Amino acid sequence: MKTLLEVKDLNVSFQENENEKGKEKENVTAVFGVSFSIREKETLALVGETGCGKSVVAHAIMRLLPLESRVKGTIEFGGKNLLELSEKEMTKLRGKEISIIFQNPSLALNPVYSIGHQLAEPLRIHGQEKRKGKEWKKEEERKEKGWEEKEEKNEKELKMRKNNFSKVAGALKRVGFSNPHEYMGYYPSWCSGGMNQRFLIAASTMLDPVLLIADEPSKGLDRNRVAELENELEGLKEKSETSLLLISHDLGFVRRLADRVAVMYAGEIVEISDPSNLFERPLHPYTRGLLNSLPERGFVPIPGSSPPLSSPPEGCRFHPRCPVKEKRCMQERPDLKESNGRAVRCFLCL
Amino acid sequence: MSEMVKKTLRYAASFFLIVTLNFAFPRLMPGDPVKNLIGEDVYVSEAVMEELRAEMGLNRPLYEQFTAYIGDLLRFDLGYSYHLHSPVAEVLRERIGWTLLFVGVSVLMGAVLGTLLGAYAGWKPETKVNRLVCCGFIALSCTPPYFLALLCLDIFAFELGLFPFKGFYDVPTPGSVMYHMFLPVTVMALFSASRNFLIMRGSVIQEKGQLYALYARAKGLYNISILFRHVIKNASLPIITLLALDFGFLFSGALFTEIVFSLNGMGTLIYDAIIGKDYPVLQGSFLVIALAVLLANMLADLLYAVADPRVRRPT
Repeated sequence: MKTLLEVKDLNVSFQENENEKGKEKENVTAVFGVSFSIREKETLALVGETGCGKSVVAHAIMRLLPLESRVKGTIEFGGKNLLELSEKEMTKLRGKEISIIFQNPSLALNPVYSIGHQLAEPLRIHGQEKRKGKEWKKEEERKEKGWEEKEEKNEKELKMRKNNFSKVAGALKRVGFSNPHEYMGYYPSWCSGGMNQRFLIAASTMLDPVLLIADEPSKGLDRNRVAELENELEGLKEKSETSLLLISHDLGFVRRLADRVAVMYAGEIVEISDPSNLFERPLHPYTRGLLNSLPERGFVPIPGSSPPLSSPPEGCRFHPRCPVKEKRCMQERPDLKESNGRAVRCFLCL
Repeated sequence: MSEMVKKTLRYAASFFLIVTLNFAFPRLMPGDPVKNLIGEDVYVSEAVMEELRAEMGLNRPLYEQFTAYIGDLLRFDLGYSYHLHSPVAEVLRERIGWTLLFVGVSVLMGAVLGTLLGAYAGWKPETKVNRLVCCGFIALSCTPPYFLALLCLDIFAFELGLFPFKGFYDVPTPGSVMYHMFLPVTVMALFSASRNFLIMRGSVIQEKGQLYALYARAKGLYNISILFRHVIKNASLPIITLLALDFGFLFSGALFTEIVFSLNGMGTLIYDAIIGKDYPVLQGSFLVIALAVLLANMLADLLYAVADPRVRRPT
């Protein structure tokens, strides 16, 4: 199958402005040499603990990072390097070819616009672009014909609005609202977090994007809602051609949905594998530790805590917490080694 | 629904308080209205003074005076001005239209100008032009409007001779009125704009960092359309409150500006009434202004329910 997204050597660093006693500007490298690819219709999960750089990768792909960030490497999407596109070209891709579902759906929706209005927005934004080219040519004719044309245009707009309306209703039905017309007049503050989550999914998948990024979609939802969300994402995968980049720290959720899983630690990918192998025979000591900390496997925590990204340890970034480390783990940085479909960043594995 | 009842009660209570204070203040002030009316240098016997007091009802107990006052108010009778020799209600009716026109136009222009410029300045606060504009508006908001009015009068009317010095019109045509109103309205609009600008700028800076603004970008909106389609409506909510508050503030600001430009509106009326101790006129003016502010606040409350879905609930 064809590769849809290819991320190579992605580095993201942030400049911290404030510093104690006028020291030099300090750089925090949040993502360090991350490479992965997503094939068409594939679901790749990015897992790791909070603050390991998962969300930064997602935002880097959509170029949504704040201005003070520095992004290096290449992100190839459909033959184009996204990092080289102009902002204008990028806006054409956003929401149409690549969409994102943010964590915290209640804040991602605008509080003062109705659900229907916000769901129809991708249709309006990307619908306009298509028509613009044709309309230019007709401009001259229209001027001559006067108000009759104008009326026709109004009619066209009305038609488009009706069209959008039914599309939005359809999308709401797809995410499980049986009476969509009522909910279209609702506002985010009138709805629960779970409902807003589904509104957000409906909005982001409105134009059938080629790549959907789900940034911690299960965060803050209770057990039942997570199960429903799982069904929705699964349905989405079956019905459309969408590839999914699933970012989560919910390992059970990931295991059921993903085709491949990449484990991140302190800004690096330490292991990439298919879920069954990863969960049954984890290679990297960090992955093993992560799995052992699950409730069903005895709740054994990894000793120590993640290093600060402003001063990561020398050598392998996991060595201070690693139970099997050797001398060279503290000095040399291991590469991501690949063998029969799996990849791991460790001297001692494989 | 109970929220509505509560609000109505609150407004009714404020209204009653305003009326009571309006009744009490002139009676708390030192001096004798009858003596003031007759004049210091004229000798009148005590008996005649008592007679005059009885005629005006000033010798009756306070609660009787209060009920009489309320009764008059219900008949829209605001008393009689002995200085202007006409009923207060009539005087006010004549003057208030002009001031409302003056203040209304200024507030509207100030709101539009301040909101739009403030929104843009907040969207790109780091550019040099926006920094300069911001400094300018801070300076404006710190300048008292009457000083600005005097400055404008000196420069544009006296030195350059572009605008007339005083009055609402030479001949009562719209053109003449606009010509005469230009300077005072500009001054008040700029002053109002400076306040709206600063609030709006801060509001936009705060709102553009919210997640919904990032999601709007992720949906494919280009830069400035995020401001217009998503941020501006959220950011302009505080402006509604500011406008309602400003309404009263501008009335007092308009007072001085009217005096500087010799406009025969409420401002000059109040000023003359204070100088001449014309209590009925003062009382009537204060009542009208207080009511105007109360109404503006009520309107703001209603507007909030329309503009912000978080205030109302699904029906």
